[in-house]
Amino acid sequence: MPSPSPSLSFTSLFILQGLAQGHRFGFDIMEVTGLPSGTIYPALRRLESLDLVTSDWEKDVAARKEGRPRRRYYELTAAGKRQLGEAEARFRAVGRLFPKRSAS
Amino acid sequence: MTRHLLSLTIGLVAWLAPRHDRARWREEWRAELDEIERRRGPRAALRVALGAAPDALSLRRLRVERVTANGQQTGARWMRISSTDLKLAVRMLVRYPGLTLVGSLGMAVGITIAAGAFTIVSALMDPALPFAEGDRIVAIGDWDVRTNNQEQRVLHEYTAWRTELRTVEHLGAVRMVSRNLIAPDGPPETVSVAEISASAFPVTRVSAALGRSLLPDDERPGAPDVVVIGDDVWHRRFNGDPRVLGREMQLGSTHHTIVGVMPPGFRFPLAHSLWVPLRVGPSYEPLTGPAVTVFARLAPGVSLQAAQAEVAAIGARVSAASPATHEFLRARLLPYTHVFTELDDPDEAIALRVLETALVLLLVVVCVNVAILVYARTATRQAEIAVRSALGASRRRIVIQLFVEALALAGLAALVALGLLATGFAQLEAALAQLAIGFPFWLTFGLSGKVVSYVAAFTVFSAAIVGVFPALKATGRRVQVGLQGLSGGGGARMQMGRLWTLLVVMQVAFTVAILPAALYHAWNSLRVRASSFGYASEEFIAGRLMMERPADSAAAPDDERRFRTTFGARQADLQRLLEEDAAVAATTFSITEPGGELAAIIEIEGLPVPGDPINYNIVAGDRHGYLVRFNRVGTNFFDAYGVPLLTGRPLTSADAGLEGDSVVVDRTFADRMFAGQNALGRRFRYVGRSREAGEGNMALGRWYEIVGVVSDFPPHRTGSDLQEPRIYHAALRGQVYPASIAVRIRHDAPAAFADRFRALSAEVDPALQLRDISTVEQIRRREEGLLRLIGTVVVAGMTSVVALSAAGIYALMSFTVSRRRKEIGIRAALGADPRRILVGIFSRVLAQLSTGAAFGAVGAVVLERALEGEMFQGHGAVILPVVAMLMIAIGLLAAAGPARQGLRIQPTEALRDE
Repeated sequence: MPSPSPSLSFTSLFILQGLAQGHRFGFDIMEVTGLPSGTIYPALRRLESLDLVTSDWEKDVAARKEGRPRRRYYELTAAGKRQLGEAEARFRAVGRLFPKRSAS
Repeated sequence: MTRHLLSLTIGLVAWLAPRHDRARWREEWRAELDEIERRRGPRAALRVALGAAPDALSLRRLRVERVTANGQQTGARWMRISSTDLKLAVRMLVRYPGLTLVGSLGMAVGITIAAGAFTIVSALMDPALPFAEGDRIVAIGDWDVRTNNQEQRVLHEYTAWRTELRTVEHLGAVRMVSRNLIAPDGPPETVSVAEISASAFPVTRVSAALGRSLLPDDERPGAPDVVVIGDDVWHRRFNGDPRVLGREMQLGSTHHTIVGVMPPGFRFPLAHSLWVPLRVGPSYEPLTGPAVTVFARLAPGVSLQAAQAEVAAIGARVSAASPATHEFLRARLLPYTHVFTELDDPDEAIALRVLETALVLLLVVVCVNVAILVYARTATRQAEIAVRSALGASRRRIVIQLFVEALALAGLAALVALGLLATGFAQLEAALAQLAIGFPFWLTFGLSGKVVSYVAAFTVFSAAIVGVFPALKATGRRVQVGLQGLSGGGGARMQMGRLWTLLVVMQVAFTVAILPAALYHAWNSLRVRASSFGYASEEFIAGRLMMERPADSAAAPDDERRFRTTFGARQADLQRLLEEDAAVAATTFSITEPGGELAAIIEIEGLPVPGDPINYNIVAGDRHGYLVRFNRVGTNFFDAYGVPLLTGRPLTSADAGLEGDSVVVDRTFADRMFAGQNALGRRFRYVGRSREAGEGNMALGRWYEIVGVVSDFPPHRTGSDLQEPRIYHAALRGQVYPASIAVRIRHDAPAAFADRFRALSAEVDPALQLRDISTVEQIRRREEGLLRLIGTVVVAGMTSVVALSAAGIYALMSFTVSRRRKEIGIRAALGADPRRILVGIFSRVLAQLSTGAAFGAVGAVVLERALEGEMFQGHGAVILPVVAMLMIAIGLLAAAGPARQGLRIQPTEALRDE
C-alpha cells in the first residue's frame, strides 16, 4: 500500500535533488548541498523510512579495487522521484539549485 | 592517530544506534570518514564525525517510531472493527432471521455445555479452600493400593502423625456424625455434627464471631460438653440472639453448652455448622476406632511434595510395624479438597479432562454446522464481496467483516448461554442442596467472573469457526468470478462442486450416526418426566431410621449384635407408637424405599448362565448371570402398600433374616425368567454383589426358593423393557440397618406429618435419628430433578446438533441445486423433457444423500458396538432406516424448491443470463 504523501522539508528536497542528480553517498551529498553531517545522515534515514529513498551496499570487489571500505549508496525510489517532481513543480527554483553532476 | 581516534569515536557512538542497525551503521560511517579523510584531510573528517551521534540517535528514534507504529498496527489490526462492520453485522442478524435463530440457539447450547463443563471441572480440580492460603490445607489418610479406597480408621496412625510430623501444623481429625437436635420450642431435627479437633479453627484461620471456637482443653475426657454453632444455626434456632452463649443445646442424648458462634458462611469440614470437641483415646490398635478425616496446614515454607515425602516415610514405618493390617495400606497427604472429589487418582483426573474435551468437541461440531449455514449465505453474497474487493477492500478487511458478523451471532448465543448457565447452575445447586451435608461447601456454582470469561472465550472460539473459515474460503477465489456473476444477474457462483458433495455426504453421515442416540435419550427423558409411581404414593411419607453409635464402639461382633438388638427394639417401639396414632393407616419398613432396590447378579437353577458379563458396578463375585434388584422388607410390606399377591404365599416371619430361604418375586421376574411357566418352587442364588447392595444385606452363594409372586411394584417408570426383575426377602425389625420406614397417612397430607414423625422418634429415644424424611412424591421429584437436568442437557445438546445438521443438509442441498438453476432453465428452454431433467437432478442428489446415509449407518453400528448396545437398545434395525430415510427426505425436499424454480425459468431469461 503506498505511504501517504509526506510533506517534505527543504532539507529533504535538497537531498532528493542531490540524489536525483547522481550524488549517491553521504559525503557526496554533503558536498553538493553544503549541509552539515548532523543533518544529512538523519535526513537520509528518514527519507529511507518513508520509502522515498533506498540504499544498497557497494560491491566488495569495487571497494577492494580502490583500497577503501565499501560505501553505502542511496538512490531515489519511484515514490521519491514522484515526490521530487511534485516539489519541483511547486518550487521551480529547486531545479536550479545546484549544477548537474558531470558524468563520472 | 586521527584514524584511530575516528575509529574509536565511531565504535563508541555506534552504541547509540539500535542494536539491529549497529554493524551496518558503523560500516557506513567508517567508509564515509575514510572518504572524507582521503579527500579533505583528517580535520574535515573529525568535523563530519560530529554528525555521527545525531545520526545514531535519529536511527534509534526511527526504530522506536516504527515499533510503536507496528505495535499499534499488529495489536489493533485485527481489532480494527469499524462501526460499519457492527452495523452490517446487526443488519445480517435481522435480514436472515432463520439463520440467526437456528445458529445462535445451536451455538448457545454448545457454549453452555462447554462453559458449564469447564466451570464444573475447574471447580473440582481446584485444590484451594475459600480460606486464607486455602491451598495449603491438606488431608492425610490411608489408601488401599488394591482398590484405591480410603481407609478412614486411622486413629492408630493419627497418634504417630501428631507427634512426628514436622512439615505440617495444626494437625487435627474430624468425625462426621448425625445427631438429633432437640429443642423445647420446635420439633427435633436430624443434623450433621462435626466432632472435631480444636486445631480445625487455626487451620482455617477463622475465629469465632461471638464467644470462642473450640480449645484443646475441650478435647480432654471429662471436660464440659460444649458446642460451637454456625451463623445459620444461630439465626434459625436462636433468632440471632446475642445472649446465646451459655445456653444449652441437646444433640442426641448429650446436652452441650454453646460457647461460640462462627461468622456467616463459615463451613467445615464439609457443609457442617455444628462443632463439638473430638475426644479420642490415648492409643488405638491398627484399624480400630471410628472413621475420621485427618486435616492439617502445611508448615510455613514447606512444599506439598516435602510434606508428602514425610508422610510416606512415617506411613512406611507404620506399615512395616503392622504387616497384618497394613500390608496394602499406604499413607498419603494431598490437597484437602481432593480427598472429597477423589481427584487424587490420575485416571479420574484424565477421565474428567477427556469428558471436558469431548464436550468442547460438541461445540466444534455445532459450530461447523453453523459455519456451513453461514457459508451457504456467504456464497449468495459473492457479488457483494466482489464489489467490495473491487472498491479497494483488502481480503483481511472482508474477513474481518464476516468475522464480526459471526461474532454478533455468537454474541447473541453467548447471551442465551449465560441465561441457560444461570438457570442450570441454580438447578444444580438446588439438586445438590438435597444432598445436604454430604456436599462440599466449597463447590458452589453460579455466574462468576470465571464463568463469564469461559463463555467469552468460547464465544470468540465459535465466531472464529463460524466466521473465519467460510470467509477465507469465500475470499480465497478470484473475486472477478463474483463480478462476472454480478453482471450476469446470478450471484451465487462459488465454485466448489467436490467440496459441496463432500460436505453433503459428511453432514448426512454424521446426522444418521448421531440422531438415533438423540432420539433415544430424548424419548427416555420425556418418559421419566411423564410417569409416576403408579400407586397411592401421595399417601406415604418415609424416612431413614438410624441410631447414634458411641464413638468408641469397635467393630467387634458382640458390640454389633448388641447395637442391632437395641435398634430393633427402638424401631419396634417407634412403629408401635406410629400405629397407635390416629392419622396413621399403616407402617412398614425395608432396606430402601420402593423403586430404589439394590442390584445383584443371580444364577437360576435349571437356566443357562448368559455368556455376556453384566455391565454393572459389581464389586464382589461374578458378573455372569441375570441382573436383578432385591429388597429386604417387613412382612406387612405388601399389605401396607396395597400390592396384590398374584400366586403363592406371602412372606412370614419364619422367612426372615439372611438365613431365611423363601422369597417373593415380582411379575417381571416370573415372566422374564420362566416365560409364563410356574415360578413357584424354582430356586436361584446370588453370584454377584453391586457396590450399593452392601455386604450385610445379602449372602452370596446361598440358594433361595420362590414361594410367591406379587405384581410389579412400583411399575417401572421408564417402560417395562428397562425394568429389572425384583426379589423380596422378609426381615424382622433390627435385621435391616438403616431401615427405611414408610408410613401411610389416613387423611392429612403426609408432608404435615413429618414433625410428628420426628417427635415420636425422639420420644422413643433421643439417640434414634430419622433422616431424609420426605413424602414419596418428594423422593420422586428429587430423583427426577437430577435425571431431568442431565436429560435436558443431553437432549438439548443432541437436539441442537441434529437440528443444525438437518438445517445444514437443507442449506447444502438447496444451494447445490440453486447453482444449477440456470442450467436447468437452459435445458428446459432447449426443449428437454422436464421429467428427464428432474430425474437427472434427483438422481445426483439421491446419490449424495444415500452415500452419506450409508456411511452414517456404518458409523452408527460402530458407535453401537462401542457403547455396548446402549444406543439402540436392540431397536437399531428399525431406528437406523427411519433416521436415514428422514435425512434423505429432508435433502430431497430441499432440492425440490430450486429444481422447480429452474423448470419455471423463462427460456429468454435463462439464455440472457448466459
